[in-house]
Amino acid sequence: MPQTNYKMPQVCLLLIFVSLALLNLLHPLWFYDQAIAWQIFWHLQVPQVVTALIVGSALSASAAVLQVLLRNPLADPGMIGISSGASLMAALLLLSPLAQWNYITYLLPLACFTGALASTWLMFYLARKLAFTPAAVILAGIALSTISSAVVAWLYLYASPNQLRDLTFWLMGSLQYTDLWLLGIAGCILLPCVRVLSVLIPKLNRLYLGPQQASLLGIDVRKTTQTSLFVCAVMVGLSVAIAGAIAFIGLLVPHVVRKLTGHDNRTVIPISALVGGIFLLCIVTFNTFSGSIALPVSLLTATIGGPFFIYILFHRQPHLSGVRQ
Amino acid sequence: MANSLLNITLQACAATPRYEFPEITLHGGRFIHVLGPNGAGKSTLLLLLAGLLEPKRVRLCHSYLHCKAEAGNKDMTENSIKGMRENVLTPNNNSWHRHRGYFCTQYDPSFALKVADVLQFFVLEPSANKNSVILAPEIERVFAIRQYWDRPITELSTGQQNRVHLARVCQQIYPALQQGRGILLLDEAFSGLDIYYQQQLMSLLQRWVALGNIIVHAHHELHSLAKYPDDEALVIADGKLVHRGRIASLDWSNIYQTIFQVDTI
Repeated sequence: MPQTNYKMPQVCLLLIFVSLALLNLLHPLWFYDQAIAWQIFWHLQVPQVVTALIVGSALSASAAVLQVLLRNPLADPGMIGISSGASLMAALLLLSPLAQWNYITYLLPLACFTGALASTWLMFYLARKLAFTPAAVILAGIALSTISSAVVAWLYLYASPNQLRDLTFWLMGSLQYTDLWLLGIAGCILLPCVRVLSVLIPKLNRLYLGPQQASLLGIDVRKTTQTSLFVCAVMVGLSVAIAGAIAFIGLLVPHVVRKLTGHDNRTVIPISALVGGIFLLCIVTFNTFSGSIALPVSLLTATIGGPFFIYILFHRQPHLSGVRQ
Repeated sequence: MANSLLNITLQACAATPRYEFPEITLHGGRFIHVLGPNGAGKSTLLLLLAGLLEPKRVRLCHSYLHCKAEAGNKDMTENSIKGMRENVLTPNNNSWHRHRGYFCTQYDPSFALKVADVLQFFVLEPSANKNSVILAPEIERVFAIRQYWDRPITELSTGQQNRVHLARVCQQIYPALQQGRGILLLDEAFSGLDIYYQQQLMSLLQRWVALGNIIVHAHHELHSLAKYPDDEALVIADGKLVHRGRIASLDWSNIYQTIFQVDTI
């Protein structure tokens, strides 16, 4: 019986996910003629649903991994500068002469990945220099994020109206700028990441008490950390490439999942990925049925995430706030 | 004393320019007390032995571990064992981490892990779920941590947290300890423990020493040394090993005066 209970949350979440996906995929069939409905189905709804799944899962899973690596339950790819680094590289590419190239869509993931990897490495380097204290990691990330945002803001001054529209997309996030080809490529990049993560997850449990304790258990901490950071950078870069910078989802989802399921990464990371997908599907559903214009994703995630972040700050464990009560 | 040939040799160790230890060989079936004033280098020596600081090399007389299993009850002379090849082990070597446990009092509480999580994640063979974590009966009896099983470790007192971590470290290498092949490195293991748990822990450690294990304990409990005259003491000052020998044979009045700056305790 314990095994049944252990699987129950996953089954419920899968049901919710499938229901939301079907609702989004099939609703055009109820409202439009069949020919138009199939066009909407293939060219709008399927890409949106798949993008929501890929981006929500990748951001949430990578945030869950980063939180363990950085020993900070509040680490989020957006907050610690990884998404900003990817957005900066995307902005630089969009304002360069290469932006006129027909295949720019397929070059962007590479640029985002490079930006994500560079900012991940820089943030990790700074955090290590600052002894990985929770406050230091956040402050280093905010500094990186601020620098990236400042460079992007300067780029605004030199952007044409068309480039401004594209830049805004990278800063606010959208699930509507993908097509099935791009998603196919994203899937091909994501699958090896999932495979590597599945090998790393049991080792991540042993990093909870720091690198020294993991090393005592025979974990090659350096290799595990480098591989994990690389995978996270790929996943975040991929997400930014296809959906822009989406804030707070990495903070929200793993935090709630840890509260509900405990700290075992063998559970936390897969469920975070699933919940992240569901969360973005909810936003797709809201956009589909709200009847208004499609709202940028970050507008919604930040609206929910900002107050939630304040809630977390006020309800953290006493030992994390630095004062024993 | 057990007929143990388990040895660790720490060669030409220098953690920083300040700490420099000579070649130290620790023999199986010995309880070694590492003593010295604050900042003398006790914790550094333990980190070197644990492989967490990089010494020139740490050697475990690995041959014994295989020989005992192969030989069964057949008697083997010390010379025949010594003639066998000794392996140089790194901290990540599988043979090494299954035999070496290290306890210190400083753990980073970034996440509010439950006690069950701490034990589940940090034993060598993680189980499918936290309900199946099984502590050895003698470890469970000595540390009595089952009552905190579902509480976040960060909510426990310092002494309770240390009991959890001591139980974890002992459980990690328990199969090796049972067979007299374990090396337990303890940095101030009595810190924060009630006198009852101190006594329980000490008698457990003495039992494991009798099985042939090596226990190395860095501490400041000078007043209790007289109870263990046959144990070995390493006295460290200013990053150097200054005295070594059986507790009963060392000149303690001289050590108290020259090392600890007191006339008596």
